[in-house]
Amino acid sequence: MRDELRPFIAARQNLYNDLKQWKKTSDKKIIGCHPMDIPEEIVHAAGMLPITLMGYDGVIKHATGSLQPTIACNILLENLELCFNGTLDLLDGVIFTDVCDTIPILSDIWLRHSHLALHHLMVMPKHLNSPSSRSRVSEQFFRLKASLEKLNKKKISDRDLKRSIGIYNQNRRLLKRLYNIRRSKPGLLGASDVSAVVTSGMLMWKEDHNRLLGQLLLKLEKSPLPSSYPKVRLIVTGSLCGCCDSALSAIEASGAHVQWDDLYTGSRYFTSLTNEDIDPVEALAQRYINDVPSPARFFDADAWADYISNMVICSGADGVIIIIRKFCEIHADDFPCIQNKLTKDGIPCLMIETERAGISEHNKARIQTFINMLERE
Amino acid sequence: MEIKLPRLKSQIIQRQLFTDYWQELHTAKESGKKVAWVSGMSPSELLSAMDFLIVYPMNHSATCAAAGVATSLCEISEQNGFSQDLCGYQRCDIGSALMGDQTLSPVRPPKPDLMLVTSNQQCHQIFKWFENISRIYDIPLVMIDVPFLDDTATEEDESRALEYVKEQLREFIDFLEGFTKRRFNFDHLQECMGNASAAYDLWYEGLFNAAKNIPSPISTFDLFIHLGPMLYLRSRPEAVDYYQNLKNEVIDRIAKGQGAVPNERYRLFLNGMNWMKIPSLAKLCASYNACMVTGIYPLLFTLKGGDISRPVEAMAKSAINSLLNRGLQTRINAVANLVRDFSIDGIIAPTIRGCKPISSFQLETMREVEKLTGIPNLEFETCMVDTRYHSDAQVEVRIQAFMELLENRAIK
Ligand code: SF4
Ligand code: SF4
Repeated sequence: MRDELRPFIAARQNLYNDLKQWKKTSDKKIIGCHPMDIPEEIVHAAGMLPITLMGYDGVIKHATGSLQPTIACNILLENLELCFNGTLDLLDGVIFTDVCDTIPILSDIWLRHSHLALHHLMVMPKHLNSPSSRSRVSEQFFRLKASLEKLNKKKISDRDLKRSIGIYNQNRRLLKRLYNIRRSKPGLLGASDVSAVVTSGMLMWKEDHNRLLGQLLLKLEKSPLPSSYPKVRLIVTGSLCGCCDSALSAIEASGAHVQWDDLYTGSRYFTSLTNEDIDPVEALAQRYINDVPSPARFFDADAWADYISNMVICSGADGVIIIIRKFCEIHADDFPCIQNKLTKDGIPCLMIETERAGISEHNKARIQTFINMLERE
Repeated sequence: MEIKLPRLKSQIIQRQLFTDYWQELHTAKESGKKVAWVSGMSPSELLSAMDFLIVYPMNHSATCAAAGVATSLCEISEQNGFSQDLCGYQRCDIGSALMGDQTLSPVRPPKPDLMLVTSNQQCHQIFKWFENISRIYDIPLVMIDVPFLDDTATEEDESRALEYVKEQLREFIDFLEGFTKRRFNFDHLQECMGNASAAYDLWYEGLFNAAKNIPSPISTFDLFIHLGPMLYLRSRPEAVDYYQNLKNEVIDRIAKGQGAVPNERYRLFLNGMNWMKIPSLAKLCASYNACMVTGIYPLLFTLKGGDISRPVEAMAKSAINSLLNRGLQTRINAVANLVRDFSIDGIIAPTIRGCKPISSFQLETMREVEKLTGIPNLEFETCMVDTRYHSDAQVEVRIQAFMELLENRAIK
């Protein structure tokens, strides 16, 4: 399967070099989208390439002089470093959403040091409990649309936006098929492979991703069920705003199969579809409102806990691993509620904190112990 | 030798006011009054107008810190799954709620009937903190969502934000009518807002601005201490009397040329804060003849009244205009202006563990303020309330070095 996966893995490895090369021959604009919750469809409909900014693993030299490293998560610091070291000069614009406390601050620091043609912060309602807060979602989406139109000096037509929504919906359906294969043929695809496939879609034209995905799915659907596969089946949840490859590798190395997930670079990206029959901006707003529960919104923690618990029950998993990025306060604050719910439902769970360097040896050992315990049960 | 700083006499009056107020809180049930826990920036006048008694969980955590029990309470929340990286105020208050009747809190705030949280400090933690408390007590929580106005915000963004907040305030008034089964008392609201506005003006002129005098008649310590009635009692006439009295006292000090720190030589600015350590920090600075004359923290509260004949509009404006609700450049300019207006020689800029909306851009802010004003700053890490994340010895050494720096600059 390695050959089929290569283009997905490569998309992330050489991202900024590839984009630089591509820019030489293309007049299309590239827009950096800081995770999470950006309606990429609007960027796509404007004829621009949305790229999710998911940090990088190089040295951090400058960002820690502006953003307090003992407070900010690694994604924030890494993305700011990419801004400071000039890597992101190739972008035509950048979009942020005020998902957590630090992103708006990051956005303002960024604005002082970088001079991209577009700098946009979406200020979303913090809860969706009232008519006024719900109507602010579409207001913010229209505001983003207007910013992109100003950059392009061209209106985004409803037709173009509906077309982009269709392409994104197709992508989500294909990803769901991939997940169904992973569930029904355990051992065929590793969790890191699946993560690479999902992540690559955040870094390339969706049309290309759909084509590559289609080819991969054909192969996978024809592949036989592996003769041996891990006994312990897990749900992995969290890892907001970026990947958690080292945690996924540790889980697999410890002998467990990730049955389904609730990861940012996972099912959270594709679970909800956008209604293709109504006004397109309104449809995107509806998707946001009805999307899977999120720690970025308030009064969602109980629903999120229920959602994870149901996922375990429906997928027949044996337990849950919750991956929290160090210093991610929105996730840390919802964790006790999730832990209480899972415990109440008799679902074993383990919380692991990830940092810039991945997960610690101590946490690897905890994962191993957790999986051994589930094996015995 | 321990330095003794002259205290304002109003502190004694305040002590009595709060003894009475907490008595009122603890007998709220018997007197048929409802209790609401509210966040610092909330339009508590709406609740006062409907005769709610108010508790500020932030202030509660500070009180626990002053009583030396905050760290133990933080540990209780950690044992219940709350990360050590969350802000100390939150961990302390949640720990207290989780302990229920067994709480170590010296004031033991009564269980709320309702909670109100306002977001105009772009602080998610305070939302989640309130959400967690409302879950522990199983009581309703209302959120007023105030959109952040970043450095790119336009006038249109501002007017949309204003409309959105107004709409939510109206929704909250409807909610209160349903919750209390009473018509909303707009007449009483105007009284409450009138008192709050008068109290704020007295506080601002009598206390905050008074620190521009050389020597400064007050220190940041006084600013913080005397913020209490502004939070809890501002809807009442007692608050107006209190701040009038305080103002007179400060005017008297100015007339006598009496400083909050005897022999004031250096004037410091506190950017950020660490509640439990302010008294010792003030004394430490005073031992170098330095007075922490002012700080950013009191200005983060937007308690300024507005046109009280249009209460919803006035409250919404006050919410979106909080300095904490504004972009980085606005905040940098605000600090730089304060540094100039208050003739500041140095800035003390603690980074507060877990407090993202105030501390995560401290480094950027301080660098820019230094560029704009030429005034040096001292940074160190601490926690609002948790002693495990504060080292007195380290801070002492850093302050000493900083004072030497100021001394050298003065000689030059
Ligand atoms: S991982 Fe959490 S703290 Fe980091 S940027 Fe995302 S939401 Fe913010
Ligand atoms: S502003 Fe800072 S101290 Fe206050 S609640 Fe938020 S994180 Fe905690």
